[in-house]
Amino acid sequence: MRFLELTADPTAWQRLRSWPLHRTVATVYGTGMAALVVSVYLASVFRVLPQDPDAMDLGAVNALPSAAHLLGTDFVGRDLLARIMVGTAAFFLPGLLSVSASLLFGALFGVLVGFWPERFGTAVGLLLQLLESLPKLVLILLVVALFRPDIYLILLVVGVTNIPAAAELLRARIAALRRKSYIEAAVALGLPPSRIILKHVLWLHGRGLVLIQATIGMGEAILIETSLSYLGFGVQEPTPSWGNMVALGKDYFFRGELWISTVPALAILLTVLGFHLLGDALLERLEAAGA
Amino acid sequence: MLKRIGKALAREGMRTAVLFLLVTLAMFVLLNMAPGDPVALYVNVQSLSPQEVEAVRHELGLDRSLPVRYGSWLGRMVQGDLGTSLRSGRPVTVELWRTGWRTLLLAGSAMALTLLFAAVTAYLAAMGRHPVWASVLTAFGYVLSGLPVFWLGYLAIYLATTRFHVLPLMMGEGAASSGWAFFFVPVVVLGLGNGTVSEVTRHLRTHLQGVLREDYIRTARAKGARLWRHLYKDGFVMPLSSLLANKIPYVLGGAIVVEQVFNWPGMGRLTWQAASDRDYPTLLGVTLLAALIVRAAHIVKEAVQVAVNPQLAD
Repeated sequence: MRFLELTADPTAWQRLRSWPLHRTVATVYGTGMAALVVSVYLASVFRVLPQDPDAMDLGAVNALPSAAHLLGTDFVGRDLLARIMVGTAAFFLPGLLSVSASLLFGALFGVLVGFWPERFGTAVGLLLQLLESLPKLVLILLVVALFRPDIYLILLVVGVTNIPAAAELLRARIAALRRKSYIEAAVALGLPPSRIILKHVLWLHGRGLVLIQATIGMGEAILIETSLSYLGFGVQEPTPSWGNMVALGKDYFFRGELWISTVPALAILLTVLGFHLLGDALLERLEAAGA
Repeated sequence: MLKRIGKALAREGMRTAVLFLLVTLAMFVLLNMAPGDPVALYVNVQSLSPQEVEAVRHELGLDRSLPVRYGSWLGRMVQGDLGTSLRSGRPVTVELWRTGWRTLLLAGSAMALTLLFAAVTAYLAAMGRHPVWASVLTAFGYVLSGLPVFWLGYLAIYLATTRFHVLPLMMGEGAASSGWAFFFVPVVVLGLGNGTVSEVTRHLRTHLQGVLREDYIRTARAKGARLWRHLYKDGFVMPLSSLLANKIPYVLGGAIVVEQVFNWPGMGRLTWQAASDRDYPTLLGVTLLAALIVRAAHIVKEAVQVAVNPQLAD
């Protein structure tokens, strides 16, 4: 730890340089990927696209990458790059909804059980175990069948099923924090619980965990959205989703034209990989700092 | 020790019973929140007079209060009557028996493969003797976790049919008996592609690194004892059993996608079909069975952990 020898606080750059190489690479790649997803989403909202995603270029069907179509075209000649870009809209806002729901209720339950284990432990614990007992996709399909296949509703359910993971992480953290003397001091000083919880626990010591959960949750939201759209219950053609794009290329894939399905699959891989790596790197950093 | 295991199992069984009640209650509430008149599922409401519709409603017991209906619904469920599939007209329990064992086979083998891959990778990484292999396997695990399982399935089918010729080109219910490849390929795809490999590996590695720092491991090393004998209980059996219980829901979810890709006639395809047809009695049955499988995994975990460390029984 080179920066510990310095008298001044280390700058962000110095801290970054004291990390192991793999963690730096993972953080930089993951942050870059997240930034790329945000900018691509904004570009697709403002229709800054290389081509019209719905325009069919019948002269270039199932084409490989070329100057006119940087990532090639699908079976009716639609530009794959433009469809990949518009496909971010399928999971971006729903994914944020899912993450917000899991974090909000995860924090609520985590705080309740972490601070008052005697009063809330059993009831909340049972509720969380209930959510954990139901496999996500099965529950989602049940909701889809009973209500309507709406991607926001589906990802809200995903968010709800992620509450136990978020709550458990925060609970463990808070249970450890409660024994720290400064929290005891804050209680003894008569600070209102809301201030202790919001400022000293959640903001000063929980934001790292919250960020990690958000990162992992976003990666999972993408996998679930694409899986459901692949199965035909999520985003429906002709609106592009990376999942239904893979499904559309199926027949050509088995004939040896691997490209059409592989482009959206690679988009899923690179994005989800980015979120996983970023989440794990942050978690590792937190564990190293806590140890 | 058996007594302690029995005690732990009794406690876990109680918890499962309470959760079963809660799961059914949640499902019942969902069912009643769904839009549309349930009578319309059984008769053509438009062609009947209001009195006739009311008569049907009474006959179906839909005019009773919610708690009463929940009670009778639950009573039938406990006796093994999960209703009739709206699609096939057969009892849901029959459909579940027909498909459930296949999915259990698929998901169980896939889970075993995931844990095996993660255990090997984590062991290599934690021991630090083969850093290159450990890095390669860890990176491979990350890539597998990001790849959508359906694309991995396409790739496997493409390779198996056109390159290695181990699978017939046409797959369907009839092909289910056509040899080991039909079983083996989906298991590999689901085992490696269910999206939890990197997380399971990371968890196991962190855990193993912690155990390897323990004093008794250092003592064992100093004595020159076989490390494995001292390591396997706390290093592998404990974390692997919790991971089994925690990750089985993901694998069951992944089975829905994989069965769809491979036309594997299991519970996942049944679920997909039922969701497409809005066949909710079947879906409720599937949800219930899936929840029971998850709880069974928890009970296994509890038994294993108490067998390893009897103190956990209290």
